[in-house]
Amino acid sequence: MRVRAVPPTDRIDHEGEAVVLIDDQVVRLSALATTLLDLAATWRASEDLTAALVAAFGPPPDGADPGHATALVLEQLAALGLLEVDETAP
Amino acid sequence: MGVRVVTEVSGDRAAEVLDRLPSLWEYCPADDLPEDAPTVTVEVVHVSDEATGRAADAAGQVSRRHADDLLQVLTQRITVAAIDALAGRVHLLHAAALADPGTGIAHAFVAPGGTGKTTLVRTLGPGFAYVTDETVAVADDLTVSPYPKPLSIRRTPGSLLKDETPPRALGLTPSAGPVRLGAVWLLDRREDHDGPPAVRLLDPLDAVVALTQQVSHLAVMDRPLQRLAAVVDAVGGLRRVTYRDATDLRHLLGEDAAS
Repeated sequence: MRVRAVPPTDRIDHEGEAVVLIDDQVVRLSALATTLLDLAATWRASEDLTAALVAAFGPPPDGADPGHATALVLEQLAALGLLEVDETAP
Repeated sequence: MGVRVVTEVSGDRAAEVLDRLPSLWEYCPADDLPEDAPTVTVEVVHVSDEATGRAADAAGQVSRRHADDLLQVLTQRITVAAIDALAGRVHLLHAAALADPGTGIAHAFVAPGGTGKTTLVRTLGPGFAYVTDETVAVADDLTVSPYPKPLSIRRTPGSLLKDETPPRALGLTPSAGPVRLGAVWLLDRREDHDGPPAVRLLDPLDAVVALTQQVSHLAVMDRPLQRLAAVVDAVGGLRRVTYRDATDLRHLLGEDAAS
């Protein structure tokens, strides 16, 4: 699977976090979500994003699987319309 | 607010409405507006025949059996029409505002409807310039277009019914000169709050998120988040003030939030 960020209507940043406007809704993004969207400015494989997030933020708490944790964030961002997902990619 | 609202009143009881409009809207004269100001029309039908009134209401005109109720709905309709006419042009905050009568520097108190804006204006307004108890229209350069509308005052404590009241009858006076936004407060009124008001400066992103929940026509504006963030930054940030009684907020009006 690969993903790509959808440019929001507007965005402001502060200390690594962001607020975006997309489809008339205002969304406050964590530092992790903000980083993920920036990394996915162009099509990126989810495995690449997982590795980049672990490098930037360390492994998920409580010993959770990094790939699974990344997938949950990707799912949330896609549901908000902030990411497009290509399921056909390996 | 910078909008010319034409109010057309018809019906055999039209005089009951027309007699009261001049004093209610005394502080919102259309004479000072530029020729090219946006213009909207609100139609009012005040009639003895109830069926005719209901039909007029269903058709989008303002009509109520009692003049007091009609005038309250008319104020709401005028506000909505003016806000719609300004969509995308200026920031439209759900806020009350009072200004220093000498400098024109205004404090805006942001809050949803029914959470203390009108009470604050009634309580603290005398001695300051009354800017609005409903909507602060502010440009990127912090210029505020006053909207000193009639105030909807509850007939008795706890009553659902309200009466439209001329600002002058409450001891309020309009601004004599230009008004400029100097501070923005987020009102958080709580019955169980004890002691003096608690003030907390919001994180810049939280401030913008909080304001977007109290802004009209946000998505119509170009780069609304960036421009709203610039306004917040220019006034020294957004402060949430938790309080119980509006009288406790008087000292806020003497502060320069940007300092």
